[in-house]
Amino acid sequence: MQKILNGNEAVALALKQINPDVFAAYPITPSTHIPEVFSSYVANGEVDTEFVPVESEHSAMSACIGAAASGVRAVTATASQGLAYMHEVLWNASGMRLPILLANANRALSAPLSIHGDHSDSMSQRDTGWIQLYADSPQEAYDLTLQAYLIGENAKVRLPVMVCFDGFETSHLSTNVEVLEDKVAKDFVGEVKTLNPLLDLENPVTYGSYTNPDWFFEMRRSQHEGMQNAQKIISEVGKSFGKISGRDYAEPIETLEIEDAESVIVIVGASSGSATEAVVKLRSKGKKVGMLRVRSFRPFPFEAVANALKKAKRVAVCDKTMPAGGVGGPLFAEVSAALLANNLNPKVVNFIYGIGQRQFSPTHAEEIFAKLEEKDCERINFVNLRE
Amino acid sequence: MSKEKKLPGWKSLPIGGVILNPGSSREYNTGNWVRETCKWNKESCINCNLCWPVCPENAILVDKAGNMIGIDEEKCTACGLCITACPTNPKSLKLESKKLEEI
Repeated sequence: MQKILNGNEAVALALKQINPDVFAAYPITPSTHIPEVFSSYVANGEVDTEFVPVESEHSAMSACIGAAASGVRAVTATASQGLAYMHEVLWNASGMRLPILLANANRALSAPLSIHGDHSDSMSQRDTGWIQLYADSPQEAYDLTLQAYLIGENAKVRLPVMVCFDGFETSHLSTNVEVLEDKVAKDFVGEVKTLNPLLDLENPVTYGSYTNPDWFFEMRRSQHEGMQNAQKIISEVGKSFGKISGRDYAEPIETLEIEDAESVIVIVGASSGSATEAVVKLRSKGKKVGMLRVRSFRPFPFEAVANALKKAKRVAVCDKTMPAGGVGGPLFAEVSAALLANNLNPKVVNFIYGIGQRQFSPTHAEEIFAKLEEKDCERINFVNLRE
Repeated sequence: MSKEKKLPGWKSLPIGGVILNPGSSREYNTGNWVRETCKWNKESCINCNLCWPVCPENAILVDKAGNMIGIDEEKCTACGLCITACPTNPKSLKLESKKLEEI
């Protein structure tokens, strides 16, 4: 059935269908709708969730950690400064292998203060050991939210999952969303799958203990294994979601006109819409262009990305966060490494766009394709920036 | 570290640093890095057991009948809490330097 929902409402609805046990949140723009709408579900008795209006995002994640360790499903929603404030506890969640769900409406970080969208918040958490899935639309935000627990709770994975979607461009975009029947969604998500829950009083365990140098490395190594295993599990869950919804998520990337494309835009999130329009328009003029959208950023699908780009001559990697002194933005670094690791050597150029939600239209995507063909174009370029 | 033993590899460990056997900290030799240890004087000890509950490391050894039987020097961190708790005069517990070969 179709409903008109914005990204936040779509996520809130998915959460209603999941009926998690604990929702701890400190509302922050542009994700505020999620706890707002969800708290009305709580007040109306439509869910059994314990809603915890905490005093900060640090506490929100901490409450989720306690809840998840006890063996229940915990969720929070945040953005920007809120996600940054969670930073140290994000490591605790992944280190204790707790399959918490975090819905993040991507927003720029201060200073200067901006409430608008870019990817600098979640990209700067990319090494925290969380699975990161990036939606391009309210539909995908809904779909990925429903898949998140099944991925994170899998015995081979046991990791927290961050579902990211662009602040305002997705979070506040009202559009038609194909929604599953409550029962179908509930049956798909099923009951929580626990591992060593604290509330199993017959089998007492300790979480969050201290480790010396002779144990810590082993813990990190098994965490890495969980992340590696997640590639396959994301695909399996995405496939089974396709069976109930008709929307298949077996691939960690989405491609458009890529088979014979000479120039390819690689991008994450909602701005792939602009790139799509540019590809369609340029294709109608006979240009061999294509697009690759990365949906799973952590784990990064190295093989799939390299395989999709194996015939490309020119690759424009678009980052919605600043390089901060790096070789390029985080997506640029990953894509370049994936190409190199597979002995592929196309021209790879970084385009920084949409910082603080600077407009990124199909025309800008066309400009990227044009710039990509210039002989001496710089490694890092800035789209729609005043000189 | 006095005794080297082979530790399990990452594949055989519980994930997430979770400890599955409660009270396992008792197995941990907390005191084997410390240069001092606590020595017990059996002669002046009145067996009041006041030292036992204040020891953070379970280093005070007491038999099933409740009689103090000594100090586990592998666990004692020489924090001195037991000495403060000891009511006898002179104290029945005191800190002493370990010999180099004991460390």
